[in-house]
Amino acid sequence: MVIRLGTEESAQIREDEKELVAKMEKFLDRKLSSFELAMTHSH
Amino acid sequence: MKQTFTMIMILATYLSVAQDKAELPILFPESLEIELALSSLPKHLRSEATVYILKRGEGHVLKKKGSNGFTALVERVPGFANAFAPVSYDEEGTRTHIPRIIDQGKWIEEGKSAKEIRETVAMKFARNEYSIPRAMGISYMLSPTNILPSPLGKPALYYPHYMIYAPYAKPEELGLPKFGWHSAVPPCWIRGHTR
Repeated sequence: MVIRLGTEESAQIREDEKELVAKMEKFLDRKLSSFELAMTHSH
Repeated sequence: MKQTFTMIMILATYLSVAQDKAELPILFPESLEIELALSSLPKHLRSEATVYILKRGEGHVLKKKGSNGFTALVERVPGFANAFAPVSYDEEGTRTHIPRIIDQGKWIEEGKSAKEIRETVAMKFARNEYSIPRAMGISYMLSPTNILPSPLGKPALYYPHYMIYAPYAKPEELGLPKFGWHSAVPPCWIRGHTR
């Protein structure tokens, strides 16, 4: 069972992890927000 | 002439093998890979967690042996070189799920195709070479950096989430629809082992 956090909780995590997000965006040379947002995955 | 023909045959064989190999997955600097792996966990579980990192040509290797039973790594996805997912499992998931993820990482690094990997995983389950969890447990994927294939196969950003694995549980026992491992009831989806 996959339980997705809500929009507010997700935003808080992005804020808490903003340094990591910045590092990733620099590494990928792309804003994470530019990716399609998906609700469920099949990996 | 014979030498030239032989060289062409060797080159053709090499190119054929090279083309059959799947694209290798995205590789992060070691410090970033560690940070990503640990970002899957709630903060209070990070310092004592076991961490694996992906090394080119090897797969996931142990970077740090932890003591709280949780294991964190950045999972790669067969067939999607640019997909990655920081993920962690509790102690039972470490015993049962992590070995499969580590095997997959090794096979991806060896250039095996997604189909080969799927078939090998299925075979290993059929032969009981992978264990099924003995009890319900949790996998955290709380990182804001989950880039996984969308249902249409495009890279997509996934909300932070966690997953409850419930071996042999019936979806209806959890109040979920009986059919399909993705229920139609957001924010919950059933996946994993059901009887």
